Amino acid sequence: MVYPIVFSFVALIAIIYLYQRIYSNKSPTSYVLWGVIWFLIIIFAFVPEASSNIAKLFGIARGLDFLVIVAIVLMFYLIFKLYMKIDKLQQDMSKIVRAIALNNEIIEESYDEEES
Amino acid sequence: MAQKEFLMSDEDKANTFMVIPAYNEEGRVQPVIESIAERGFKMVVVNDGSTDKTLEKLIESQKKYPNNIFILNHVINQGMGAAIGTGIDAVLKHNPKYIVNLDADGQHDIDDIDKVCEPLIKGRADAVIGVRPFEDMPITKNFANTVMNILTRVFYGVNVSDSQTGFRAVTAEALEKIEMNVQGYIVASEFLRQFKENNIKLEEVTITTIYTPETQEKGTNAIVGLKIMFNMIKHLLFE
Repeated sequence: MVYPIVFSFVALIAIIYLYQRIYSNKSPTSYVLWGVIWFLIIIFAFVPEASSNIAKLFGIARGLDFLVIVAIVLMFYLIFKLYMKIDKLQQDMSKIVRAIALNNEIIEESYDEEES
Repeated sequence: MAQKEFLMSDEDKANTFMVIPAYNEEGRVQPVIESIAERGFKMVVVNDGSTDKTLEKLIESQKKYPNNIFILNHVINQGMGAAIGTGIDAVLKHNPKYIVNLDADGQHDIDDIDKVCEPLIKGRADAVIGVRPFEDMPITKNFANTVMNILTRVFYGVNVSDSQTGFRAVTAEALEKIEMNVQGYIVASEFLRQFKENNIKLEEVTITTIYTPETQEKGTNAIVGLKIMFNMIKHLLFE
């Protein structure tokens, strides 16, 4: 019985943490999604057959296969989100670097003297 | 050649501005920018966060040609596309009529500037790309660039003889229609895509390319090619 207790304990901590974040955040969608996932983990920890039943709904034979597939899909989604975020950050950084460059044109002292 | 070679007048030269991105080119950039300055052209050189002495070399050259060379410095390396974007923003403040963009590594023949500008000055086109003869290219470059041409045709619907050239000339009006928001080497294909989208008349001009071991270090190789392709797919899907 160690496995369901450990898992549900971790899941509970995660849910409490997410609960706090939902209330302090303006766009809680992803936290709600994570909350659902952790909640399912608690259910699966105590009622492993539940995953088999859901798996059958999707036409997958074994419950564990279903969980692994869901995990992989989630990971791909996360990687994609991270990629988009990094891309956005990179573009923002370019804007900053560009603004710094345009505001600080390098002019040699000799050039200054000639101009003035 | 029966036709007399076109040479730009001093007035045209005064109306022309170069945009030159430079990243780790300490050994190559000086002869390039100094010979351009010697011919009376003005230029904005963007040091793209080089980790070598490129910036010092640029400043050294600027001392020799203080009225021709303008230097901008990216504090962090942002890629060829971003450097050209910065250069374009800077160059438009000088109100030029024609903008020429070329590489800092010495692979282009400076004498080709007149050739590339000719269609703009004569009003035949609003944008010109300098096409490198593929038969002169080393075999790997030839292959990579052929693949890139095909990809540019498939993803962007632009059919040109050399999609990855770093030598291009654009009129200021055409350039103002363009918005450069890309980072790396995809900039070459991105220019073509934007020319097409904004109905900018494009002409190809054959240019000389100088292949030395140094000029071959950078540019389109398999990894760069894959990155460009990935970016093209991204643009197609999300923009």
